[in-house]
Amino acid sequence: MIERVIEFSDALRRAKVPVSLLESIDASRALATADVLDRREVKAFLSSTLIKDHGYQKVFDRLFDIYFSPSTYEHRVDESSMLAAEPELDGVFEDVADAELRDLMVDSILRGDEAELKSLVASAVTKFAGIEPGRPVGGVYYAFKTLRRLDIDALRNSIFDARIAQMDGEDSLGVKLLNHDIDRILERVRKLVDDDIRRRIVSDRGAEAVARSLRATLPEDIDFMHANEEDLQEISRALAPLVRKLASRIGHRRRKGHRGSLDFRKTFRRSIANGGIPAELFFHKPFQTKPEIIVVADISGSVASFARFTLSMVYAMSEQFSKVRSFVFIDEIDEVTGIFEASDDLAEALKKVSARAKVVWMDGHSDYGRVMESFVERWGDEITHKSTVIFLGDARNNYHPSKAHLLALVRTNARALYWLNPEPSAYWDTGDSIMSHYSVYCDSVDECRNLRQLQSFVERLI
Amino acid sequence: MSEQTQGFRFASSFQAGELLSSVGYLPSVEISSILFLADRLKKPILVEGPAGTGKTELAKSTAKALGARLIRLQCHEGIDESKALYEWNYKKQLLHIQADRRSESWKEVEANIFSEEFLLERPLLQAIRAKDPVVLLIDEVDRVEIETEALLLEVLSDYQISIPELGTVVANQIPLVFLTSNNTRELSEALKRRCLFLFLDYPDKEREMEIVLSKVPGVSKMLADSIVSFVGSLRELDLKKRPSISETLDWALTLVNLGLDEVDESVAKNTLNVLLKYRSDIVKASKGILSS
Repeated sequence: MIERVIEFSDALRRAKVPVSLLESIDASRALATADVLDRREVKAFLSSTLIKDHGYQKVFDRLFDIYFSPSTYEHRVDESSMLAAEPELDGVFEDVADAELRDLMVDSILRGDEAELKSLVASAVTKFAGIEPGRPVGGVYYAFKTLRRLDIDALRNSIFDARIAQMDGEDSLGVKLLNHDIDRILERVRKLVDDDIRRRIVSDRGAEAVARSLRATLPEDIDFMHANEEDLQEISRALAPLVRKLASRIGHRRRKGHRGSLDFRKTFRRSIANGGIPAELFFHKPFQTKPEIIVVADISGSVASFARFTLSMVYAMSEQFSKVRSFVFIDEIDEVTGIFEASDDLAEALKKVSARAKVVWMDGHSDYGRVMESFVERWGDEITHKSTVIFLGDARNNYHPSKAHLLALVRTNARALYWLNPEPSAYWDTGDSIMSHYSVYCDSVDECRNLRQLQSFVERLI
Repeated sequence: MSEQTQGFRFASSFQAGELLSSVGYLPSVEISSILFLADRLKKPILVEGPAGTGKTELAKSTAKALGARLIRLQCHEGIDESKALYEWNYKKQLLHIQADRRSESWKEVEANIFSEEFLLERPLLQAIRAKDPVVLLIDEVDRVEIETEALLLEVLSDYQISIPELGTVVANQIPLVFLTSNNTRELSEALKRRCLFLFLDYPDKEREMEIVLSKVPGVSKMLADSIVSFVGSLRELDLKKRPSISETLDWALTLVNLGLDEVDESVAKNTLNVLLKYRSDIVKASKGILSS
């Protein structure tokens, strides 16, 4: 068991989860007191000793399923305790027809018979997935094939019909809740399919090989430019707690950073209680300055999600600034401050921004030069020595003129000028990127490809 | 050391769970396993999770189940060793010096004023010196500054406190320690390494139903089922403040008191303010779930 823990800790470290030596020793000590037959207890013991940040839980869960998958797990337990595993149910249902298999599944779901459902899923995987031993593919493809043949929509309809027949009145809320419940059940079926496929792949290729092929990235490290829909959702979920932490850290620094002058009156007044000895000193609260932020964001297709997350972060932090103004552009620029101020829901506001802002002038390809021109012309004199201007964009100008001298004008008027570029810095100035035309006028240009970099920028800003 | 003679508090995870259930806290397998483990490894438990999932309640219930005294240190910004560990009662010391000025030499005075008589025990020292069984709860540890966190380390790993004038105070017994955090900032690695980590999320449907059934008298199984499904679907929306377990219970109680045995749309709409505390959340929920 101890070797397994060490292998497992190594796998976690490879997935960038920090596991210290002390923690893996603790995990081994924990397992020594565990009831090895109880997989949930083993899991709880390992996660509480090895994982100290909930963000890593997902990676942990996946790796745990690989290293302690029910089959390898039972196998090991068999060895050590000579106990028989659960009766092998695999293959019992392999001879039934597709439709019948589905009916049996619905039946076991309605009865809540987990064991039978598991063996039905196992049969479905055997029949539908067509797993070829030794082929180095991930489980996703097999899961897709199984679920398609299983016809998850038909499954949904059957469960729905059966359950709705049980309900007495048809109430629209009841139907919604039922649908929600069925989502949960189908999620469970998907999980069972995944588990079963993983179990087979692991026993075919070994835990370590499978763990290596696992993509385990924290939401903070997902690249904005290459994020798919699921990644984007994960990033937005990670954003809120991140912002909260950032705000509390900054607020704390503000309060602690420098203390004001000695509050003589208060110190003296309190000293009277100690016979005139000033045992405690009191200070005035320091005076705070908050910057005014002007965000100018490229929202064309390629960088839209980057702009979205940056704007959400800036607005979520808006208490730290005296004022936030935002502008969005593609080949025309428009102010959207009003949209954010009118709405108390960020997601809603962002939707409105993309719907309402007038950002297309000609062809809807980014034109930084034209945008600079129009920005300086319309809002140039509203930029003062209090304003910090932040440009967001990849500076890919589609071979239009850069008109960089206008940015120099912005820099002269503003307190500071920053540029955030979501592309890796190695790509700057390749192709139609003209980053260096603009960067000479900026106080700094930063690569900002993921939440972590974005966070560190915002922290420096304040 | 004394803890070896004292034995362990729990015989198994299962028994730990039973004990908690007996005082009305329904634990998941994870909770009872980790509680059992904390006792075996003599490590504190760091409990994290969204507000209202029963973090503080877990410590209270454990104390109750073990018949132990709960010592609580409520953390806040600016807390320091004089509030967490111990403090010299300097007013009393001043008085003592003034009163005894003629009779003693300075050496004697010095020895006197740094004796236990002038020591004010704060929660951590109290927990360490306690002779009766205690459970120590360090609540909202994420609110203390990172520099202050270091004060906790000696207590949490060695169960001792060094007082320069008195020497090292070693624990009479190793108390069960709970730290709770709302995750408003990253805790230091050193602190996390010393703790077992328990993340308390919103309970799954089965467990929440059990909680509702056990805590709300007169609720029918059917009502509990629809209550829990409804709250569950609310939690999936992107809300400012998702309904906590205690809000689920409040809502269940409301519905029972209204004499209802089913949740339908108009009922849900009229009582939504029990579950949701922001106007924008209520609007969002009405749009997302209740509109037809």
